[in-house]
Amino acid sequence: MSGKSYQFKIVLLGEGCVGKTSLMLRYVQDKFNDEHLSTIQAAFIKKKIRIGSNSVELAIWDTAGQEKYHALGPIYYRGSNGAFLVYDITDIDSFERIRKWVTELKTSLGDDCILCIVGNKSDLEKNRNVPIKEAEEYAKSVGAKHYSTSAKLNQGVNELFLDISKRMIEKFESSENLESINHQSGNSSNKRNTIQVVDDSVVQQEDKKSGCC
Amino acid sequence: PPFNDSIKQFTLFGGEKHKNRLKEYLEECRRNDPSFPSWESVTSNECFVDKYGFRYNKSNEYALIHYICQQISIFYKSQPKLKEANLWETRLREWKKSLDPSSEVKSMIRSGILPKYRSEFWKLCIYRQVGDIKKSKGPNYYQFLCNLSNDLPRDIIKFDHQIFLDLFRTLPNNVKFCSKYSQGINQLQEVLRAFCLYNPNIGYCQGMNFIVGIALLFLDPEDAFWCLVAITEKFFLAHYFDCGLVGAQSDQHCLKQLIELKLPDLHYHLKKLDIDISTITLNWFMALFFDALPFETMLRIWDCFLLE
Repeated sequence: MSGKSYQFKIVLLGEGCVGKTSLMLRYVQDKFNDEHLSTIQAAFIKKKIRIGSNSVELAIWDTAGQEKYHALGPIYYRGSNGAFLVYDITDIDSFERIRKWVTELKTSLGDDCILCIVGNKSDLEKNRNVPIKEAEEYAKSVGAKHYSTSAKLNQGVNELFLDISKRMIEKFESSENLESINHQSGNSSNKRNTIQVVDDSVVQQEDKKSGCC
Repeated sequence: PPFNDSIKQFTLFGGEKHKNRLKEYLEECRRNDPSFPSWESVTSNECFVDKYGFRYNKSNEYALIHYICQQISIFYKSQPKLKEANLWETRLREWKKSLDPSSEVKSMIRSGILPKYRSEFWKLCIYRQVGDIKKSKGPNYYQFLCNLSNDLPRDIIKFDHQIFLDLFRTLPNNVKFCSKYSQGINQLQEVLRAFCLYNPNIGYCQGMNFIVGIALLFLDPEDAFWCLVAITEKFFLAHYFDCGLVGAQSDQHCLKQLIELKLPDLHYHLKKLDIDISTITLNWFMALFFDALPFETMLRIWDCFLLE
């Protein structure tokens, strides 16, 4: 299993001005710039890293945050192996926005996409408006992992990207194994069935949600 | 390593030899037009500010040299046009009287406007589109909207928050827009707010900040406001910037179909690589090529766009 190379796509989603671009630029260029533009055109950067003896090429997609651009999301997140759902710990609305993305990603990408919920701007801890416990519990409830970062102080950023990369490798390997098992047992439609089951459960969740709204 | 650097310099600028030629050209330009910056003033200070207010850091020599080349190019290209200065004035004056530009002035603008007439020309284009709306709203309408801004209705507040977040992320490298005390920042906020009040259905959409930011480099706030109205209501359809960006999305589909029709090779290439071209082209439309092209090139596109 050593010396493999992987290619993964990660998408950054979240409300405007939570720090999506800053997280990406901090990770890829190790820079923090107060002077970057608000993103309307999704930008895309590649970064190669080594994990053990494996090489991983990450294609990182940054997106526009304003709600109006939500409809364009699928263009950017389709085929993603991982997603960062970023909120600003001082802004409760930005956390609420995460829930929308989670539901949408689960519906369109099923369980193929690793979800990470990222509370950015941890340098502004004294102005925190999103209780960390609530965020962590929510992440757990949707099968995502929660991370705290500060793109400004470079805290938790490398760890975030490293962790998602490891998890994407695991996911990839386990689905490969699954596929080869299916192949051996001659049941090639098995994987498709599994995905359909996942879709059903997501639809059910959605029904429940729309019921209570 | 220095070896690599010199190769880079050689391939990009031909080394010192070409730099020296640039200096000569620049001096020649300065003899004709003393408002031209000298080589020293551009390169010796920590930070150089160009005529639009954009800052260039000394460490970014590529950007500085690109800027100098562009200014020299504009200078030489506009030399023959300078002789036509009287003609420009006559043609623009005629346009003012007749509302519509003559085919002659259109072709003059298509081949490149003299920079000093750009503000006047943009204004003519804008009021050609929205003069009737402005008239129907009565005098001092913009001032009226600005006065309302002190007490914003609730449905505007959510837009106002996003506007605030984007003020410093619009032209951060321009001296007119870089601090909260900058005049440009206040004007940008004023215009975007006024637009939300004028058209609460569209409200504020990211991208408008860039459009207004650029407009404010050439127009006063009231004209910049009407410029935004013209772009959102006349140049684009009303649903272009609505809550689902429906118009913008359908334009992307049109673009894709046009590419398939006119540039089939490109279409199949993108298809083979599984690339959705709207990931690249969206802001060509939403912010009229802002940050997609060198600034001067973008201005030429704006000239032609506003003219149509």
